[in-house]
Amino acid sequence: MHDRRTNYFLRVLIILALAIGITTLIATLWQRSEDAQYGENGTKNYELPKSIVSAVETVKGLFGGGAGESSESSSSESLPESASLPSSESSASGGESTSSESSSASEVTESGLVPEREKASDSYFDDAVFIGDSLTEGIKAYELLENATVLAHQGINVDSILTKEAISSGGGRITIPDALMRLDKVGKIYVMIGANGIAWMDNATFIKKYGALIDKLEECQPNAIIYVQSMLPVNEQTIIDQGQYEPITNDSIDDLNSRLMKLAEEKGVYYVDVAEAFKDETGGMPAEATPDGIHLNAPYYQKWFDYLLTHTVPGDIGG
Amino acid sequence: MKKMFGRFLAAGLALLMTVALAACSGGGEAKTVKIEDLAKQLVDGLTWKEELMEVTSESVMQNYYQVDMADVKYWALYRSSSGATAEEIAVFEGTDAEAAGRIKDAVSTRVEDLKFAFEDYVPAEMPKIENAVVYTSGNYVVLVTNDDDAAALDMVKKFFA
Repeated sequence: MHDRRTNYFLRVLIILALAIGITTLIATLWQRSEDAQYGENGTKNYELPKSIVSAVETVKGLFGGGAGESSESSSSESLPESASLPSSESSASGGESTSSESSSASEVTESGLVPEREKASDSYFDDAVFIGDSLTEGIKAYELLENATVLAHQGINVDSILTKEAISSGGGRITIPDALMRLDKVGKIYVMIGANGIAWMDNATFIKKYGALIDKLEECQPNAIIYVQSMLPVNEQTIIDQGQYEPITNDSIDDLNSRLMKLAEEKGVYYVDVAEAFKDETGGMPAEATPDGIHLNAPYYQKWFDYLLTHTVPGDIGG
Repeated sequence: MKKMFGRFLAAGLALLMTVALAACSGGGEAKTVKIEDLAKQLVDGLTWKEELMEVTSESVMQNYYQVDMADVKYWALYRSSSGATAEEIAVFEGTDAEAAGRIKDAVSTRVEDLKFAFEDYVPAEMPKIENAVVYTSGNYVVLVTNDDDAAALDMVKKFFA
């Protein structure tokens, strides 16, 4: 009698254990399926505006999928996420390309103007640092360039960039040059100071200050290749209509750009004429490209990145 | 008879546990959907100067919010795609009330960063930053920077009511 009862309870226990096992298995599979659906940040993706989806999809094709691991580098503790260092793997590749990058600008053109070439690989920006104002700051919002470092600030201009403490670091703020100096193994620096400040500064002063900026960047990262990017055109009418900024003319920007190209030649650095990718038939920025006449809508950021990938110096086609 | 009763007992218990575990698993989904719904309601229900861009990358989000991801259960972020405006929506669900407190600190820092970025650059954007809606409810923290801060606050309050 006692044995029968023991056997009975044993059987019930076995059935229970089996039930628990099966239930756990089902729950685990269920959770995995949910994780796959919701992605790593736990938010269920919903649809992007069509324009952004189109931009993202196109650039995904250009860049491939694997970016963004560089922020885990150890020596970037004092800098914000956006200013984190390239990964060691990326840095190594960046280091390899530096020897060819540091060759003189005459390998490109006599003026240092970088011509169109074959498209660089998706790791091209791993060792890149972008320096500039609000247009450059906007890069941080784009996942596709999360492997690059961005040192930028809205409203900074060629006059204040050397002195304004604009970059968050260790609970305080430091200047862009100071932040740049703290980075290791920087392969290339892209600089673009846009329309901020040109309304109240004469062109000769602007170029003089830009020259001082290039000197400072070289001092901070002597082994990095420097790309001076042309200023982007504006939509003059939108600026006037919105009245948000001082009126700026594309003629003035064109004049500054030709002076910038000459400055790049004098300084022995490269000049990338990104502006040509943005000009419409009037030589200005198309109205649909910009919400306020100066800043770029999402699809035009993609144009910018695409232009840089197809305008590189020889030997610098990727990491 | 006893044998049959035992089998029913085991099967019943198994069924009960299955239902209980399924309920636990489903809890997270309900919260996630809630965050999405609030963010979407704010995007659709308020007037924005430009089309907002949804941020889906965790590392991109952390460019703007210095949060410890161990504190964050779910998040949703929409921001100005051009950087021309300070318009933004951020909704976080913390893992617990203490985590939500730390997230709120990060949100306050974000508001200060926006002030620093726009005060000398586009002063016209300052009112929406100075009147930014920073709302907490339980483990949730919400930030909205919009010209109509009263309407934004009203929508958020109604959502959590």
